[in-house]
Amino acid sequence: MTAAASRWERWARPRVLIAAVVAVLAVTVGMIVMYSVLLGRMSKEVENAQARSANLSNADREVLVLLQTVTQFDADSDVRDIQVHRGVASRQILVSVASFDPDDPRVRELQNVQQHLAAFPWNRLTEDRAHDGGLHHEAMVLVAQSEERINALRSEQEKIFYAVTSSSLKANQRGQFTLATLVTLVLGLGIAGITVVLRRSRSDVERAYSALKGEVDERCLAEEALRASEGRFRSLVQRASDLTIVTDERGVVTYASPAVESLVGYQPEDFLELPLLAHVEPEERADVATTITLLAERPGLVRTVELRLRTSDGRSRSVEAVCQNLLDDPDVGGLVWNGRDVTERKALERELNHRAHHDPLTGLPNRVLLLQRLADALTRAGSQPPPSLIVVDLDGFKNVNDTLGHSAGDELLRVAAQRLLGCVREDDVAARLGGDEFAIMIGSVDQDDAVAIARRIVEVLQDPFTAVDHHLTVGASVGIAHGGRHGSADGLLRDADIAMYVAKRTGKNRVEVFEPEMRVKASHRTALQQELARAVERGEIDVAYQPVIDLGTRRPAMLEALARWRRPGQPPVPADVFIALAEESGAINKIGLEVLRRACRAGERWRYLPGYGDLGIAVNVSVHQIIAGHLADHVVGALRDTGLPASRLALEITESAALGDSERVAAEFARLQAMGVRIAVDDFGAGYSSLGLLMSFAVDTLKIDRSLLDFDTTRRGSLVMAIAELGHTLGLKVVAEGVETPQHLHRAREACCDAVQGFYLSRPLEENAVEGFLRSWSVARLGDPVVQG
Amino acid sequence: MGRRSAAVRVALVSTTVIVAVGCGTAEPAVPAASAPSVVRAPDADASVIPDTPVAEPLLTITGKVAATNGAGGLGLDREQLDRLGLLAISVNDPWAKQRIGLQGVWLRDLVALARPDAAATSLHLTALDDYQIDLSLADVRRQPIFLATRTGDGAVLPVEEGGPTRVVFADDLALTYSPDLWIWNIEKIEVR
Repeated sequence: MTAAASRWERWARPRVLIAAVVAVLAVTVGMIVMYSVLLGRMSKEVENAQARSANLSNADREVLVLLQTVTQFDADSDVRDIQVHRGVASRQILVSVASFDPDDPRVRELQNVQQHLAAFPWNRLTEDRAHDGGLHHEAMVLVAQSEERINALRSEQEKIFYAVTSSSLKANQRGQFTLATLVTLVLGLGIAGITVVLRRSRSDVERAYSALKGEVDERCLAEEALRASEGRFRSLVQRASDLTIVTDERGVVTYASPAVESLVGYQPEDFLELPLLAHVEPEERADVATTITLLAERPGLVRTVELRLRTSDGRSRSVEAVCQNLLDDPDVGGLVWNGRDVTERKALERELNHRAHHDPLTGLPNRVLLLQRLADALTRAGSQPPPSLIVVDLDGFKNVNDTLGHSAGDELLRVAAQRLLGCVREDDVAARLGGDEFAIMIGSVDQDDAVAIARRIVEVLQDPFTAVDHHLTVGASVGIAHGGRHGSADGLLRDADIAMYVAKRTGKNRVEVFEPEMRVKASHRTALQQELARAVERGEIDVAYQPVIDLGTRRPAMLEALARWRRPGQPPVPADVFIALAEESGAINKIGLEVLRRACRAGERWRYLPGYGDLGIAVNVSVHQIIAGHLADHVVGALRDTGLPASRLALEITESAALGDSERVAAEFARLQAMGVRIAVDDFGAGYSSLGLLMSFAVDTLKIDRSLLDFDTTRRGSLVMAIAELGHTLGLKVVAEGVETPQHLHRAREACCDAVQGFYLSRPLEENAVEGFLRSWSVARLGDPVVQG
Repeated sequence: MGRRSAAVRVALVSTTVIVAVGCGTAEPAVPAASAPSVVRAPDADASVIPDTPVAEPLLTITGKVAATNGAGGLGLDREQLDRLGLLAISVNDPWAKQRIGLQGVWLRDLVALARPDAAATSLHLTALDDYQIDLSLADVRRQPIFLATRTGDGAVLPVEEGGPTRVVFADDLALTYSPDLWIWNIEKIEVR
């Protein structure tokens, strides 16, 4: 009985499984067939729906074309055009009809449309046009109705198409899911079958296996014993690429592994009987000797050391070694050094370290390294004087980048870096902080010497540069901060930075030494800048207008728009201060645009006052606005929005080195002048007064700086005369600014200026006071006795 | 301004394949396709037709052709087309889904009349609604491709039925040529 039962088990179980697999397989195949039939039907339905949709939209389009033809039809047209388009439309309707089943209700609808179109008396259209056109109207109505009907069918069909597509996609997903389930079932059953079969065959070999196993176990035991008896020594040197050296307690080599050769180029025998120290780089010998002494005293002690070994060709390799005192181990009996070659890793570490601490463009240390060195120097400074820090910012660098491109800018930075290195001693650290900012740490000199170095830096950076075939002159603003006993590196850098900004603001190409009150001013300045930015957002920038009086007509000829910062509840900030602030923060662009718009709008209004049709408006433009490159666009926009004629607008530009000889700036000016906008040079005679701007851009007006009207300091007024004459020679209008006294007016007249402007004639006026001023203008204001007649 | 989109084109080719394979027995109860019969033999002097200038051409052949009669190509009016001879053909229209009878000429004979250059490789056909297709000249010369100019009854082919001229393919070509090549309302053929 038992035998029979086990026979049954051995044979029947796999058979049941096989039968199950076959059954599931059959179901799967059946499903696949069913599914593909279903899919085929579905995709045919989708294709049909798509074809119908496309045919209907073609028909719709052709009827629309027909509608267009009919609509444009007039007495002169050829009726043939209509016939052709009616035929084409009819053809498309026919094709649409064919794509439906014959008993589909839409077929009737389409055929109905077609019949109506065919029944219309198209031939009479020409004669009808000549009479009352009623038939033409009827034709249009008919075609329009036909189009509507087809369009309705088309949009309905489109919905059907999407519905069919989505149901097809769903059926597809369902089918895939069922199939996946069945396939999983087949696989599962198959695996179960294989397992059963395997188990069966295993029981057959089990006896043979157990006999064999006893033998194998014995052998394994023997092998293990053998391995154990060979001792730990072998395991220490098994990794061929690692270096293993054994020395005695004095450090004399008793064994060297073959890896020695590939590492340092010596044969293992060359190491034997010699002190290990003989192969170590001299500067590390002391450390290694200490390690040997330490190890030799303490059995079992483990130490990790890094040492550099001399190679046979005179170079050195870095090795990280774990050394252990195994003097008491009978298998070893020495100090074991297990080393790994880490030369590449060390080189990579050095490289990464260098990169992390240096500026790739100039090769100078970067901010991180500078701060580290500075911190070191500050903590080390005991008996020596603490270090000073110089921060250098190139003036006008941004313009070089903007106008000549980044390669010129990069070249300039590299040359500047070289020049800086020429100014410092070996122990000093010259670093690039980023952008056009450099810093130099000057260690242990007295403060006057540090200032002298800073002065030299300003001088060398003023020399012309050659970059990408251009000769450039930039300058440098330099700040110095002297380290204190308790200062931090960050603090010192910030102080030097503040001093640099003071130097930049007070005229550039200067050296400023940090004073504690600068910090207070700087933070005040930052706060003021933030306040200004908010004020611009809130529209708290006002415009005041100062009249310019023509000395010929003795009437106001122009109004100069001046930005004013109205701070509710606080004293006003002087214009020059807040304009400088705005230029620093970039807010000047917004302010300039706002002033331009408002001045144009107001100017256009005042031109309608009697007698002021030619009144001009002058708007100040900052160098930043010109370089930003949107000035001409902004002017075009303002003139278009306000209606002020271009010829009534003058832009006032202060001479500045920043304008340089850039072609882009010249193009901007040319565009403005082509529109008829006038250009005036403001504050001529102060600061950068070169004739460059007058010559390179076609300037219309010269405004002489107020300082030149001062009698005592300007050679008894002769400078005003000279400049006015120069202006007239160049064909420019000349305006004297800052006329505050009758004497000033007299001097301006003597110099034959064309117009004057100043407190003596009128202060800048609020916008709502201008109209009153203009209406009540009287020549008597000029205090001019000649006019009385 | 193609008449049918590319997607429809693909869909329709496959539809045709399925119809052709699946419905082989369900052919409509119209006369089965047979070889075209001659309705009118070509005129003996049909070859001199090109020299005659034409007032109102029904079909114009332009491009790389040697035979022209002014107007940048060869213009043919109805009379001249008829003088090329008329064959009657019955084809299965994949668009109207029915068997139709037409009269006209083999496209190859019409093209030969225009004497294409040796370098010409294809025909570019343009319909009234600006639908355009290309046929290779080699195919036109080798295959039974037909240019219909009249209905099966010999009447003028109206625009509704694809006039003034249309291209149809003999039943043997149903599987080789896409229904999109069944261009109708043709008035211009450019030899390229």
